[in-house]
Amino acid sequence: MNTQMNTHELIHENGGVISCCGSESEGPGDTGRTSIHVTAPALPSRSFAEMVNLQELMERLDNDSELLREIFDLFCDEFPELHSHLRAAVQSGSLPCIQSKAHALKGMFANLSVTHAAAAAAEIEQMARMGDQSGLTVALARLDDEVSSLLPCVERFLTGLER
Amino acid sequence: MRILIADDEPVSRRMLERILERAGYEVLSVGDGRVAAEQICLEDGPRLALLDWMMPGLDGPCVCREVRRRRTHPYVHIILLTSKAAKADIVEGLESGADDYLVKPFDPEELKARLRTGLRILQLEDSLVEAREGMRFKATHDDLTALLNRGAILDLLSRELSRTLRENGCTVVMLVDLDHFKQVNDTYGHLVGDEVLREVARRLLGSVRSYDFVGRYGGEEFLVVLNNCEAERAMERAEELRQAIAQSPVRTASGPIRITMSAGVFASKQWGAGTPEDVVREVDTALYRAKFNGRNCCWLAAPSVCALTG
Repeated sequence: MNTQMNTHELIHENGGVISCCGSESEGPGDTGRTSIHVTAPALPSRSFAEMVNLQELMERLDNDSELLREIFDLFCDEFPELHSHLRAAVQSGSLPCIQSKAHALKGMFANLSVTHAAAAAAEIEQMARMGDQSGLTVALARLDDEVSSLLPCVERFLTGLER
Repeated sequence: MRILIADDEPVSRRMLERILERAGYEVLSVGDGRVAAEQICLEDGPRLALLDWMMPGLDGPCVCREVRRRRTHPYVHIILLTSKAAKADIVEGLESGADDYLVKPFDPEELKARLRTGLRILQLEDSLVEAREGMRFKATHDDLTALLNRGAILDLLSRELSRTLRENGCTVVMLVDLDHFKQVNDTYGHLVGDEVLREVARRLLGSVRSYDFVGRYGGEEFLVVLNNCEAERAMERAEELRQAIAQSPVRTASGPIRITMSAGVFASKQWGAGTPEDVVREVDTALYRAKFNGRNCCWLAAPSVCALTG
């Protein structure tokens, strides 16, 4: 079943506690909206809402919460390997490889509305394109900083969606 | 409508798949540019394609160039969907053969609107092609019988004679004329005469092989071109056609009408090279001999005095 939720109604963020609330199926005329209540302890570093522009993302997904879960699952599967490939490329100094991996990460983050991380990946891609090796390590550290708490946060969010 | 999505980034690919499926498209998705080009270039490949720029195999612009080179018809509407947003990239993407360009992250409503635009363009192209084909058919076919018209059958004759000469083969040409057809028109009227001509055309076409040609040369004259037909069999084939016409009366609104035909027959191998005009002249002379000999018969043009040369 295709599950849709209205982000304006359903998703609030309160000091690191994600609270998605809405109505259960309400008989005839029910549009398939899901009631989601997610309570996660406040994260020490950054919250999900600070990293992900959920409203923008849900608009992009036509408010399809099932798809939201699916693409974050995909992200959790794909991101670690891509991230480690980028690290390895930076260590080896292979500029075409850095550019390609950073481009892929940038696209993935941008699609998921993980805006700051997308900007950090774009910076690395740009440096690699320009042949600027000197700032790559610092730029990678900036990206690492952006994404350090992203996976746990996303996993917590997904767990919340499953409840 | 089927659409191909080519994107090696799984999150983006899945988002596109789902959004487009929900919009009613039949989605085919791949993660490699080479595979994308192969799929699009299949005979029944998708006519809408959404391509990422950076992909393994071939990048998006290379896929565009490959498709434009290999698949000219029917047209494929290609949209490049990429995070490369620089003006130079957009220009390069469109120059490579893309019809439209969208920057990631995409807005689903804009994407769907652009695809609808693509569909409108494809529909316009389809209707133009249909109109062109209709005009081409009218320009090369006879309105009454739907056989090739005089110009088209003479063009084909010219091509076949050249090919036959190159391959040292034999083309058999017949000029068929309905016997006493004027009496049909005078007795039963032109509408009945038209019915007779249509039925004769149908019988002639039904009596030749799929790769032979039959055209309406004039009022009640038909030109038949038989490819790769042995000269020794020319009269046998002509006789088959004559029997196909004579064997049973033509059913018309005014009742059954018995029709016969005469034919002049020409086998190119016995003559050597010749222009279509030469051939028509010889086969016309042979037809005249068939008429002179009592009609309802076939006469082979024989190079008794001077063979055609070229």
